[in-house]
Amino acid sequence: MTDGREQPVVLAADDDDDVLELVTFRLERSGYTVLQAHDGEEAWTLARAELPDLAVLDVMMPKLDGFELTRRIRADEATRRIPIILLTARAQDPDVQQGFDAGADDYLRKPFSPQELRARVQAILGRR
Amino acid sequence: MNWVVLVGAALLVANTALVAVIAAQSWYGVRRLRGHDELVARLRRPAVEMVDGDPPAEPPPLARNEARVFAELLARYSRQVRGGPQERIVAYCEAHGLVDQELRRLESRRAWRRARAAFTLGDFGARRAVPALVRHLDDRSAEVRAAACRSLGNLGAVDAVPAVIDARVAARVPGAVAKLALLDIGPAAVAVLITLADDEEPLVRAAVVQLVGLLGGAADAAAIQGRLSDPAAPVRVATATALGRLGAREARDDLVTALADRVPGVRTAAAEALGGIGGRQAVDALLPLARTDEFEPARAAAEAVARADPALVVRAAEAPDAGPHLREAAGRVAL
Repeated sequence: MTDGREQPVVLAADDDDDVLELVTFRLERSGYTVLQAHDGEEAWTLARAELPDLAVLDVMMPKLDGFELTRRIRADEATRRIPIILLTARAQDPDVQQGFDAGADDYLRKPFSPQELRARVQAILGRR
Repeated sequence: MNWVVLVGAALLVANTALVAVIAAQSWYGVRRLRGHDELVARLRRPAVEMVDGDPPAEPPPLARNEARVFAELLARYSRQVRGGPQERIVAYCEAHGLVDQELRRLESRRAWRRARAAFTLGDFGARRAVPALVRHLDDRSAEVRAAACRSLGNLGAVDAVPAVIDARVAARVPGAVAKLALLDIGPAAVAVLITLADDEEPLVRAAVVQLVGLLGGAADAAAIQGRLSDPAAPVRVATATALGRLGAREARDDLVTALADRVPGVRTAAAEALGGIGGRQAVDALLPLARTDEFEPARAAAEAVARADPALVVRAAEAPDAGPHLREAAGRVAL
C-alpha cells in the first residue's frame, strides 16, 4: 500500500456504469478505496494524479482503450509499478496475449465473478 | 371573404393545437425519462446489494413502477456477472414471477413485446425458458427470432444447438447472431455439433464443421477430418480451414491430398491450413502449388511456405521458375 493511506486504493475504469458499480461495490466491501473512471483518458489522469495501488481496466473504452492505457501506465516512470488487471469481454487467446504484451498483470473475463475479482486483487496486492 | 378568414382561423387553431400536443408529448417523455433515471439511480445500490452482498440483502418493498426498474437493473447486471450473483438474480426473478411474466409476454400478439421478452428471458438466466425460446426461432418476426437466438446463447443452451444451426442455415436468423450464440454456448456445444456433421444438408455440414473449428480443440479434429472428401465443396473448404485452426497434425496427409482438389477454394484453404500445421512433407507439397499461376491457391501456398519455413521460401524464390507468388512471399520475409 502507498504510504499514508489507510486503505489500498484501486482505480476502476469502465465505460459501462453497471460494471463500474459492481466492481466498486465488491472492492469497497473488501476494504479498498475505489476511484472510478468512465473512459481511458479519465483513468490515465487519475492514475497519474492518485498513483493507485492497483488498476482494474476495461479493454474497450472510449478515448483510450485498455491496451493503450496499460502501455502508457507502463511507460511512465511514476505509474509503471501499478499492477493492472484487465477486465474484458475480448478473451480470445490473441486478445489475452495482447493484454499481457501491453504489460497487464492479470485479466478477468466478462461476465465476471465479483468474488474472483476480489481474490485476484488480494493476490496481487498481497504479493507486493 | 368571411369564408377565407374562417378557414385561416381554423388552420391557425389546428396548428396551435398540434404544437401544443407535440410540446406536451415531449414534456411527458422527458419527465418520464427523468423519473426512470432517478429510479435507476435510487435502486442501483439495493440491486447490487441483493446481487453481491455478504450476505445478499433483501430488496426493499417496491411499488409497481419501482419493481419494473429493479427487474430491468437485475437483467442488466445479469449480463455482467456469473456464478453466485447470477444465480441470485435467477432465483429472484423466479420467486417474483418475473420469468412467468416474460414467458406470457413471449406469446403476445405484438412483435416488439415478444422480442423484448425473448431478450429479457436470456438476461434473467431463465433456463426453463429454453423450450419456448427454441420455438420462437420460428417466430414470424425476424426481431423475435434474433432475440430468441441471442438468449439461447446467453443461457448456454446446449440442447438448442441443432435448432440454432437449423435457423442459421435456413436464414431465419442472421449468421452472425447464430454464430455468436453458439460461441456463447462454448465448447459444450462441440459434442452436439459433431453429431450434425453427417447431416444430409451441405450447408448444415459446412456450418457445423466451421463451428467445430472455432469452438473445438485438437482432439475434435478426427471427428471432422473425413469431411475433407465431402461431395460439397463448401464443406471441404470449411473442413480444411477448421483443421488448420485446430492445428490438426494428424490431418496433414489429407490436407496435402486436398491441395490437388478440383475446386480452387479448397486448394487455397488446404494451403492455408498446412502453413499453420507446418512440417517437411507439407512444405514439399506446397512448393509446386506456389509456383503455379493460379492466383489464390498459389499465393496461399507461397504464404504457407513462408510461415512454415521462412528461410526456405527465400531460397525457393531465387529459382528461375519460382513465379511471382514465391517472390512476393520471400520479399515479405525479407522485410
